[in-house]
Amino acid sequence: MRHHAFIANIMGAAMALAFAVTAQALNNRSFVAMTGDDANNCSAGAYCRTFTAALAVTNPGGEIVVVDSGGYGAATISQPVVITAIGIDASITATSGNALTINTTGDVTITGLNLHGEGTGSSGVEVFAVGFLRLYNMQIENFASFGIDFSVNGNLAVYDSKITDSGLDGLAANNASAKVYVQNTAFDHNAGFGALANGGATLTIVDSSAHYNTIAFEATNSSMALYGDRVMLNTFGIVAAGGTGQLYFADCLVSDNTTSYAVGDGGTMTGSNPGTTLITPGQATNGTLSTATVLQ
Amino acid sequence: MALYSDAVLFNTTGMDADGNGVPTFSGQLSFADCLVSNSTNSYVNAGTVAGSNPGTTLITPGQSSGGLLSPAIGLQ
Repeated sequence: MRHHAFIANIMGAAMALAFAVTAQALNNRSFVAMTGDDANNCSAGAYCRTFTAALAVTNPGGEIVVVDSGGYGAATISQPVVITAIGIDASITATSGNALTINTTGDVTITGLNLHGEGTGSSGVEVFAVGFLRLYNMQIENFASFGIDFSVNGNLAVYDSKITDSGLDGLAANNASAKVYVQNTAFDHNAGFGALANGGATLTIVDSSAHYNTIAFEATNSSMALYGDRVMLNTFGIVAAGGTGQLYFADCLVSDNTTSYAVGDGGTMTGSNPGTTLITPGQATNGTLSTATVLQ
Repeated sequence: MALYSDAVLFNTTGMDADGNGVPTFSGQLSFADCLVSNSTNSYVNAGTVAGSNPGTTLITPGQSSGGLLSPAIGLQ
């Protein structure tokens, strides 16, 4: 009898807890601010202090708004969400681990965050899974590994951003089903590649620039298209390598690199006809360009 | 429709002009200075789809297309 009463008490407590959890409303829009407190519910009248706390109380597909300038802590995103910071200096400093880790099959959109690695943080944005990741107006700098590591089956679009000072690559896309578009973004002073398409990834870079990298842009067993880009002051400018490595370019400037282009290991690299890309003299070359693609 | 300095990529069909079944209507699409890449079909032309002369748009190889491009429009 006493045993039955004990079980009943346990069940009652469990039901009460379950009711309390389900009754706690999540936000369609949450807010973080320097004056916030993670004990709050992150509503417009009760800001939270960190992204982690805000993510925990935001509906999947909801939005997190950054109210004022400051640092909001590294976070793991495991649900579709929109994070928006406009007109302020909203940052994440990660001296270890990643600034943002993304692991969701849903879509994620992030606007206006500055991610700092201080030379020891692993990656700015590490993607383990995502449907469509959109990054607008991001500054991602000084991570020991990657600015953005996108080695998954998914879509990535990067607009109006700066990815600099990575210990390895600014952007690495390494998955046969990764489709990546980059527009108006600078890849500056990354120790490896400014941007690398590897393992069958597809990467298109438009109206962007790469300077002071070891290799600015490379397609290794992958497809890359460059249009309207500036590639200068790198050790290697543009590289196509591997049996399925394809790189197309038009309307670009390639200047002041040690080696302007390199084609090897069965890769192909193709300019345009009529030519629209200026490859300035004085740079070394390695390999041969394929027959140019006729412009329409 | 006119496209100028646009990037068209990762679509099922990048550029499409047709009459949508309206016999007296023929879609017209003109483009210049664009990048069309990595779509399944770079263009489908059942009306008028015309680039420029000289050509200024890069349509990367490896995409399918429907129909032929119309005569290019001379740049001035």
